Amino acid sequence: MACTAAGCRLQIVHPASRFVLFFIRIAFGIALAFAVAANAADVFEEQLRPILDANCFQCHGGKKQKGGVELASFFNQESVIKKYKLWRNVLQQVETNEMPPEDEKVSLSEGDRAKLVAGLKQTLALLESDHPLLLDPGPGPIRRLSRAEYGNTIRDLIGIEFDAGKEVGMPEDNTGTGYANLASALIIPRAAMEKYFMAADAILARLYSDPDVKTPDKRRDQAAFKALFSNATADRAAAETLIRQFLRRAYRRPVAQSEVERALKVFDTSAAKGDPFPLAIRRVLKPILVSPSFLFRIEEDQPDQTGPVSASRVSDVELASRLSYFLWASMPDEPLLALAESNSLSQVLEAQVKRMLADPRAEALTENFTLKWLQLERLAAARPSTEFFPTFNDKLKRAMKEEVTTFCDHLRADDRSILELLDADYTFANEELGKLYGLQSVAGKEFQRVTLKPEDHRGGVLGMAGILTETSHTNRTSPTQRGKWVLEVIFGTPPAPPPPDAGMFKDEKKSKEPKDFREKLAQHASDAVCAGCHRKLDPLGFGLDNYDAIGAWRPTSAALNTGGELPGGEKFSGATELRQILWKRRDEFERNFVSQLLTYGLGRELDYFDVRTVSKIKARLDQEGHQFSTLVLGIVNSYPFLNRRPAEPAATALLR
Amino acid sequence: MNTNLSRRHFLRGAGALLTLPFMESLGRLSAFGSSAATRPPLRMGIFSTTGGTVLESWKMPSGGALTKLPSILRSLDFCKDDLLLLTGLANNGKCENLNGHESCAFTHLTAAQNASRIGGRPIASISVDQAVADAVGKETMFPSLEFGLSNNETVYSFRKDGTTAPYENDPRLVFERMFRGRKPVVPNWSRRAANLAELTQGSANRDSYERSVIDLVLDDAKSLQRRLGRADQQRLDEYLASVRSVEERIDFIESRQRLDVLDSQNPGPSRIHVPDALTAESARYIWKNTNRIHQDPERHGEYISLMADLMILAFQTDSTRVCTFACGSDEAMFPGVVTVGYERHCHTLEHQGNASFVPDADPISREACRQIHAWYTSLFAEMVRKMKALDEGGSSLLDNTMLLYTSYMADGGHGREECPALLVGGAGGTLKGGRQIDFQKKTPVANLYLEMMNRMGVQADRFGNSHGADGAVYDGKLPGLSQA
Repeated sequence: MACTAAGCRLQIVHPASRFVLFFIRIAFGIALAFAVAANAADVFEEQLRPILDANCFQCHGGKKQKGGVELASFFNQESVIKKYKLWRNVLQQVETNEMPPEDEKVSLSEGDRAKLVAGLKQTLALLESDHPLLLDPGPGPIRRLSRAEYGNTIRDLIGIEFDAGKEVGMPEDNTGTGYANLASALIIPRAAMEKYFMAADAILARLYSDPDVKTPDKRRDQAAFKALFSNATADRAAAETLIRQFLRRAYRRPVAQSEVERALKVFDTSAAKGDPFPLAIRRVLKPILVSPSFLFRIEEDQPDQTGPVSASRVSDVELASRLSYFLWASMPDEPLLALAESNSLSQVLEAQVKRMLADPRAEALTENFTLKWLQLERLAAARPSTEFFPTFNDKLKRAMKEEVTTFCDHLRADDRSILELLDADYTFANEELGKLYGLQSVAGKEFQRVTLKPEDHRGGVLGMAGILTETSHTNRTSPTQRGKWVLEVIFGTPPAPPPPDAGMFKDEKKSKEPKDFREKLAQHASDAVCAGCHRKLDPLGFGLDNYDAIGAWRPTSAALNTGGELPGGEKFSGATELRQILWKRRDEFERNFVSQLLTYGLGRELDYFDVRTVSKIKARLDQEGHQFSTLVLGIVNSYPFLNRRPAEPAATALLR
Repeated sequence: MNTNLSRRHFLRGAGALLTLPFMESLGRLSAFGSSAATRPPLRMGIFSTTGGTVLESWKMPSGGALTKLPSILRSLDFCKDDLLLLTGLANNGKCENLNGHESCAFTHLTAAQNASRIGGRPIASISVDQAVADAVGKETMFPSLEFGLSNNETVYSFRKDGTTAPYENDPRLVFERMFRGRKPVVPNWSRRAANLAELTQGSANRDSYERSVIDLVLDDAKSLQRRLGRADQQRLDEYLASVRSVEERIDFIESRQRLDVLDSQNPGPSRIHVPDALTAESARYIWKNTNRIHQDPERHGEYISLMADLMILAFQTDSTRVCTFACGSDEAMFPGVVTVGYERHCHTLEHQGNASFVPDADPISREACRQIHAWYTSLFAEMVRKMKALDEGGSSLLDNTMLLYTSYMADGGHGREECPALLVGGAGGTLKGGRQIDFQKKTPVANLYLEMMNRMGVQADRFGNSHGADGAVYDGKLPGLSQA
């Protein structure tokens, strides 16, 4: 295709004729600045690589890759910024003297260390620059509706609350800990298609039998659909109008006459057999509900005038779907689609975003993003043992979930500061949960807003029982799991998974019996393979040990040592001090939260070219306050949200 | 037939689709005829529990003729001669970016040398059930069936194209999938060849509504295809392949229905048993919510029995010849099954009681795990008993089946050494039971899968990490399964 053609042209250019090469790059309008940058001195190539060669490659080079880290295949700044996560890690470890390790035979001189640190910082700073390599909105592949999106879309398209996916046993999207809308995972496995056919049958059966379907519901766009049942003149013209309207909403775009004609053929065949009007219409609806234009979100490549397909702005109609699936996990409603079709969405983007965020459909954002980010699905599997926690029951568990859900959705609906996730002077509780928290004032089954005092030891997700329970074992807290949760969820820096053979306290040559759990864990973590991570994880978890395995507060005592020291040397005692330290690191949290929501908004993992987008959004938040809508607007107005490129990156194809 | 022509043209253009549905279904019909249709075919069933096993109660101290069965297997005493207990098997492929459960699950039936998750997507090589389904699946309504409480972590079945085969967790849906628009009929294997000959003379109705749905959908795809980039076209190809498998199903159901009519005029000797819970309207929604299965072992046991009945039905009616049941759940509670200690939560018990270093394990939790596994086996044994009683015309269903009773882990601590493996059934006379065979430590479990594949007619001498594993031995074989 276009990219390949560009590649061929480059290949036939004689390597020496840099001028011609230069010319072609201009011709494609992409790499002018790059060519300039390439001619500038590359600090990595000239200064850093020799230092790395002498000090690092023997363990992290072609022969050995200790810890799975290989550095010798990097030759210039560009290759480094493309793997910026690895190199940030390198920078951090060199800067804190963790690498090279003391017991190795190399000795990195202080001068070289300083040079390496400065050079890497300079290189990584390119990620925030206007380097042309970064002018990349990322791929915008077609993607299947996720299971949640499918359910919501059916709801809004047909106007009935009906989980067809559950009815026919449609499998959940399997993305592990990732958000379920990640494009890379949204393929159609063969067996799933059968499910979509069954679901279409189930939906239509429900639609044609449900007496409630005629009840108007202002929230949903079902007026057009209701016409189906109340049409006085049930002739072919009526069918055509109906089909056109339905197609447009199902496909979430204007439809061509040929598409209408195609669907009408099915109607005609059915009508010719003498089927009554509603049945003939029903026959048309099924294929629409299993067609690719319905099941997939499709954005088209825009060929630009010079030929090759490259980054381009998405159309307003495509933008409408980007918005609605981001904020509602569902199809655009009539106002949004109408604005898009008249190409005026871009002008009123901000107002639309605010309208959509305030709409109840935006609960989907809390459900599919915020709660997934908090890994709240783990709470369902938590089973605190009644032997140890006699007050725990299913009612309390539901209350725990409700607190997190209500708090997070309140953040969206009332447009609160995202920093309240880290610390807030209020939460939501009912009597059940209030008892666990020692909040006497809360009465009744209903959830209510509760103002918190410092001595309540709550506020923010780290004080929520749901979070504290989902990171505990059945009979005790798990400092390791809680520490991992903090690093992964709050700061976005998960530790590497434990080696597959890591034991659960398997210690065959015990030097002495551990006196308590803390010592037992320390013994286990003294194994060199384990120590690197446990040193970061466990102190965070021990700090939170003031909360027991179902999140009740217990004071520090002789029997409960909640002190610890973080790798940076910061010391603390107990949850309150630890949470103060975490609050000081709110910048890191904020950055991570921006990255997470951007990942969800784009439906893909972030890449090196997204780093500066995250920085820009964060800068705006810091400037304008930290309201949730400011963050959402930052994402909606970002370069990758408004632009797309084909799945094969035009820029890199050109450089190859 | 203008539309058909353009569709053919389109299908060819789509690249991945080499043969036409119509040609394909003709091919499948003749495949019926070419197999030795006078004898019942060989079936392969995998019954895989969660949580590994408790080794000292699973196997005898050393190999040889089975004497007194270890306690976990004791409920299988009635069919001791049909049992082949295999020890020493390991599944030690490399896993990246996976937790303990995922590592065990993704390598479980694949014996993959490398397993991981990329962009959220589970990655492993093809699993044994799918490899067999690819070879023998064309002869039945379903290439294979997969069901049970598999979740996002316990993914076992991987296809050749890298996608995973989803597990149906609602028994009603499994039943409806098999018998929607079709009555369960037992084939009369001795008359099968004659019925097939008669069948090929008829002709299929190629003008149904279902087919017009497919045509319309393909038309939509076709107009899209022109406007998409290369990478997106590949995604659309995946969609097309899946539409096509629905189309094949439609074709196949039609021919199968006609075959069922012939079979029902002179059915095989065994009786069909369809449990009420699969058809009664009052029981329609009880399996939609898996919560009660997890909470209540009585309900859980009922669930396992229903799934086992479905496996029997699938084999008995020749709806498929490859079936995998993901039995049990690490998250289930076992009050009443576990009668020692206070803990009833399976996952907790597994971790406390099933530490791979036995002296470190909590003996009470370990006993609890043993009780859970003995309970699973008792339900499995009921299925075996029923299969043994089903006459297929001189041989029992069990004689014509190769069952593998196993678990996705070796032990509850996410172990992958000493995987539990028990072959049950005659496998058409290709297994000699009544024995425990001890293989060299670390023998790849892939070797077992190869032996099973070969018996099912797959021509292969390598599978998964049969030759690349740490501990690879016996050239991918397990010597001595057929004779002592």
